[in-house]
Amino acid sequence: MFKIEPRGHESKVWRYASPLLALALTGVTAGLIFALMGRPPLLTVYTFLIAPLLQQDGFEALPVKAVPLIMMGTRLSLAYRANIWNIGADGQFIMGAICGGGVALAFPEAPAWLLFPAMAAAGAIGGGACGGLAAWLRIGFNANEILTSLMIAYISQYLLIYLVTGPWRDPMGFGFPQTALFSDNALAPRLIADTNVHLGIVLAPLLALATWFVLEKSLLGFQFRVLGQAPRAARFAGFGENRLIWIAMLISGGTAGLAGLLEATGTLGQLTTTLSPGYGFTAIIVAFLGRLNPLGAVPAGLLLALSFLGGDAAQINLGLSNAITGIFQGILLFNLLGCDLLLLNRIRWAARAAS
Amino acid sequence: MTDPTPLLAMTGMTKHYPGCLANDRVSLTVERNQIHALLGENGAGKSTLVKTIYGVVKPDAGEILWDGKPVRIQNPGHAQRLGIGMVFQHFSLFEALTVAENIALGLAASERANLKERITRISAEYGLPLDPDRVVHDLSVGERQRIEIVRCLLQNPKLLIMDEPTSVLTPGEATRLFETLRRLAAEGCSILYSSHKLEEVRALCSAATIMRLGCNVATCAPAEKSVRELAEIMIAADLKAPPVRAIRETGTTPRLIVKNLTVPSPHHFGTGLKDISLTIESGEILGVAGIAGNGQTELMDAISGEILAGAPENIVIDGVPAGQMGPRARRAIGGCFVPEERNGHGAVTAMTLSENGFLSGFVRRALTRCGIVNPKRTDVFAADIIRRFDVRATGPKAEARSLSGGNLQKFLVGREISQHPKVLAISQPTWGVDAGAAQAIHEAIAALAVEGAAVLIVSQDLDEIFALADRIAVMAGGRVSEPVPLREATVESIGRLMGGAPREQPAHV
Amino acid sequence: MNEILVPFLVSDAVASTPLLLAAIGELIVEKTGVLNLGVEGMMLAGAIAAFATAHRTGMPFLGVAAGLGAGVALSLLFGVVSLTFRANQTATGLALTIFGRGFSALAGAGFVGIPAPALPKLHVPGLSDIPVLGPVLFGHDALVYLALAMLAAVAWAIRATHLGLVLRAVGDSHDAAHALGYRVVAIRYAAVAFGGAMAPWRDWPGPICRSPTHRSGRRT
Repeated sequence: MFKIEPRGHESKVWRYASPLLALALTGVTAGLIFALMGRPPLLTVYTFLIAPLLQQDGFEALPVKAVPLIMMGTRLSLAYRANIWNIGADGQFIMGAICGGGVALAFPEAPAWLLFPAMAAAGAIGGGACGGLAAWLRIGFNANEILTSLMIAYISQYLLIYLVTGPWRDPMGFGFPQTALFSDNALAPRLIADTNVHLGIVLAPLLALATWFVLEKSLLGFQFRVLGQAPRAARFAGFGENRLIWIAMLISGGTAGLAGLLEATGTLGQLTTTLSPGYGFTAIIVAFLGRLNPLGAVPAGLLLALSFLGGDAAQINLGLSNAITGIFQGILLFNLLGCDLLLLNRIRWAARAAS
Repeated sequence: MTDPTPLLAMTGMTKHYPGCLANDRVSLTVERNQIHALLGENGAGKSTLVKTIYGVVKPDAGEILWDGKPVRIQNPGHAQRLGIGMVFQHFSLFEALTVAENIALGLAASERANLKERITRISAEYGLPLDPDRVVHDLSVGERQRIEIVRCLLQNPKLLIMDEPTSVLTPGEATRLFETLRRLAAEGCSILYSSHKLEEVRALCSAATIMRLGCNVATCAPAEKSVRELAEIMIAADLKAPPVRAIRETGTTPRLIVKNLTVPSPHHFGTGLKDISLTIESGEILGVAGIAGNGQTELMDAISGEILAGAPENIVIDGVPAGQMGPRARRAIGGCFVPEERNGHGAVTAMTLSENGFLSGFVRRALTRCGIVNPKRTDVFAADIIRRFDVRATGPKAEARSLSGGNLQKFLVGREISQHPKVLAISQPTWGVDAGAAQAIHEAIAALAVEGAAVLIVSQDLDEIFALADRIAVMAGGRVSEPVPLREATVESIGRLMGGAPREQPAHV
Repeated sequence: MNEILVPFLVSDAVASTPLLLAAIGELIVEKTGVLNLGVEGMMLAGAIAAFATAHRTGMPFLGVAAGLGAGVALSLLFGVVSLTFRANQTATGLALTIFGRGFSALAGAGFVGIPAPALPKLHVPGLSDIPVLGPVLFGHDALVYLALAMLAAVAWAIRATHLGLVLRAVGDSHDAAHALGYRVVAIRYAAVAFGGAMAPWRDWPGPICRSPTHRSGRRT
């Protein structure tokens, strides 16, 4: 029998080795699945993880794809460290795009200096409101924020579908479920003209850095960490739990809303039903893969962005559905959670007689 | 009825726990129809002994004769089949389920027939009013205890073990419980009654086994002894005479005033505070003695601001009405606090000493600037505590959980004292701390008082109270007695109050 | 909450049958104090396993078995990671859902638009021929009736049987149940596996395997 034994402290080695082991296991599992589907495993892993980077625009597409994942992942790390489980980032992402996009559609003629900041504010407020609603339900009604934030995510998703297939549908769009294209003034500012390299590419790492700074260096971040580790000690120190829940939900929601707006204005240029291929859920994997360290979300976000590109590449080159991305991500998260057992425990082969 | 064989006879019961000998060759004999007291302070080994009888604890050595036959009790189920029932001090009840459902969960399939009807009958028969369809959530603590008793009675026990049953009851409920127990004993069910309350043991029990520090020190008929004699056997023998020390001159500025403080306990098995008033002058140390669970935790939380008082005037720190302030605001006006529980309350175990120093020190030591932690000052603060209080640790970056209990306690006491508080409230300052560290902590507390702070010490350790306090009060049932000056206090008078001697006013809840 | 939702879902018997079954399963899981957010993953992956097996073999009942197997296997995976390894339940459930969505989309890509071999319709002579009421109440496939029967059985079992009482007790207080000698982890494993067995009936045995990118009924 295997026996799980507590170490009594957190292993420094496994803190970094555990995500690597999880990645390796994920590679092996994914290879096995490909083999079962009759594809050469190595070729598929190559197509999935390496080919996308070798494409012409690979090094442009990857960071753009990673922007929403890093933005949301870094802020979710902050909330999760405080034991506040915002699971609804996907809905906050969508709501941000809806609110910001609504401003763009309402005022297509507004000047760029006014329009985009107004949209960004609307996006952050929309996402923040979704997060705030979950915080309010938790504090006022003791409703579990895991469930409420998730339900709000579904509401946002359906609201988006309703809007782009109904009132906001582009009359010139041949009936496709999408809005009219935003005016040029409403698009996220580009860093390189005629590409998708937009503001978010700078914003996301800065946000990660700022979040890391707040969490590790500020009094507010200290309060989050104490609340997550020992709620009673937080009360002893006088750190109000309700206030911290509000802050965590508002800023993680607001950031997700801003990320949604950037996605809509940075890469799509309109609202469509497929605005989010589950970015908000992938961001949760990003947070865990980054060890709930706001800076860790940067490499983790890039890796998971690669999994989206890899899915597309697998679809084009191998004729596999891009749903392979979900399989990869699901297995990765499973392995991560499983390997984290080794952080605080060791596994021994225990002879039955020994007990 | 006239069977001369004792129902239960235990000899040489021994149980080691790592670092402590909980039971050391204890013997206990319970006769038929007897209400037998197991008397002793908290930590005397009573719980270990009764859990051995109920099959929860496996003894290292000793022999148990049940009905004259040697037995080895494997588990609670086995104990129940032998006819032993037990009501624990802290019940295992399901809040969202009904009384009948709770009882059914503890019974074997064959015992569940016509359950509601039998519950109603038994509860009526023994004066334990209980509605089988009520949800536990809505019940008082006394009613919850009845559930456990009825669950035991449904199995027709020959021996019923009650572990500290009145520690959670109001006096009225306790009186009704005694009537029930007397009836049970008369009908042939022996009762083993574990308690530290001398008065009730004298009133209820026909025999008593007294335990101290894991040994049994006496067996007697409690009604033939005075409360004072029992108290001496139970606690006095391990008390040295209070060390003679100079009575300090205390100031005349009241630093901490608690006035008519009444707060319900936020905890499930907690004791609410009932109309507590006390004043501590500058330079004075007030010791609050008492057995754990009588409201000490709640008192500490109310003074630190973790529980808010009803009105600002209920707690005045250094002249400022603070009853409605949170812990941060109270620190800012001069309050510092050391809670009883180190791990997860006074300290975050997974954080470094530096961070733990910051936890309560950032207000008074100005360890932040514009909301940013000042790492240099924070490390210096922790390093100072480590040096000044001789904390054995690798440095400010050591994790709190890497320290021994005594060293962490030195750090936590040092953390508060280093903030030069005007009021220090400290609970169990030397709990689980070795003698050397305890000495150092005592000296630091006394030195703080000399500097002019008002100090409140809550402790179960009478030695400690006598060694440090200028005045002594006793906490029992959520109330604090009128403090007496050290020179007027005797171990007997304090012990008597601790043992739950009757108070003037009967409590109504 | 579940008790209110469940009858509501019954309103559209055919479309809601998979949801109803999954809801019953998750209800049991939640009664024991476990939150498995992976229900959707188990629904999708199990459904596609059932569909593919039934399609390949032409035997609907073999498909049922395959779906059951897939649902239970995934739920046990959840159990190992969240109950034995004590990983965060929310994240573990989410991993299951993300995986299940991907798996069903990948495996189901080849089946879009293909009718599945259906389970036999239950024809009740006389009753099914009643105008209006007949087709609404009678004449669905067996699964619809099975689901309704399960609903009644589970509702009864939770309220009235000792097993149901034990499930509720484990969910109410882990510690109290442990103190009374119940094997809490084993009971939770059993409940999670039951939830897995009840999940995979989404879109199966419907007439067409729909594109599984729809998201509905996660919160059952």
